[in-house]
Amino acid sequence: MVINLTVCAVAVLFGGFDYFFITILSFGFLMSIAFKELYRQNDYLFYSNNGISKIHLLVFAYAFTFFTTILIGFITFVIKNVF
Amino acid sequence: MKKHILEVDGVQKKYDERVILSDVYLKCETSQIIGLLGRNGSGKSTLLKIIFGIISAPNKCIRIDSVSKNKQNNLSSEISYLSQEQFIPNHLSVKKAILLSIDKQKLKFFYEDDFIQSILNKRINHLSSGELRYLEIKIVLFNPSKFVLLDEPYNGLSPIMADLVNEMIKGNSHKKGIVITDHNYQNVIRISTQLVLIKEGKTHYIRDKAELVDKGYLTSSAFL
Repeated sequence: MVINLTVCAVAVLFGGFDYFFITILSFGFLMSIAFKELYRQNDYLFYSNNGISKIHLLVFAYAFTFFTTILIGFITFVIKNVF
Repeated sequence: MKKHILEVDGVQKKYDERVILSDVYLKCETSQIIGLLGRNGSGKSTLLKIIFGIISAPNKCIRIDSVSKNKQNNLSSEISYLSQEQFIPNHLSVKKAILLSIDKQKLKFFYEDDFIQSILNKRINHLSSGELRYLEIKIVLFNPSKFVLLDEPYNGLSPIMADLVNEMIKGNSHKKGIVITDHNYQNVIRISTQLVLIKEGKTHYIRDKAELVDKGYLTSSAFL
């Protein structure tokens, strides 16, 4: 999530806030997965040993990112319309 | 206690054109400790990774209790695996790693360990390599899986810690089947109930330690 948000921050900086929602669900998410694949691949073993497969982890991570994005979108919508 | 049987058969593995494993048969039952020995590059770690499913092999045949597991990519509910490298994520605390891995009913027993108590409030990235190895071995052995694959568990352990690990492995072997490989052959020989040597891609069941000399794994001075 830290890597995803860092990528999103760069996207927002250069393209505006609207890019946040596209980036967090696409390029930012892929970058965070790529980082895990390159530098933290053994972390998957910890979850495998606890009965959670890599596929389950990836699906859960994307679902978590997706619902977080919806939450951020909802909060942004509320702030824009209330204030 | 119900006995379980893990059987691995017909495993073949090549890297480029070099044959690593060509005729492997391995059987491990509950309460057995299989000591897997072999020279550097003989394919011991590769075999464990193939069994756990993190490396593919074209003709592997893995059975648990006579049920084929070939189509199942994820055997983690039945087999747990200690890799050579650290596998507990650095961002976790020791307590969190334990809570995520150990059944609540077993927690009290897990904590009844002076060594675990001494590291309980540390973060994973603050542990020494020996402390981390001990924790990883204990977590893997206390998993609810039927079989445990230990790849170089003695790495980074002092002799006294290695003895503690041996006791822990023996203590857990009555409810699990354990396959262990390490270049620290004295410890492997000491705790194994069956020794298997991998040589030229094939597994050889060892009946007598002298066979390890005959097959060129040890020199005769190793027993002096």
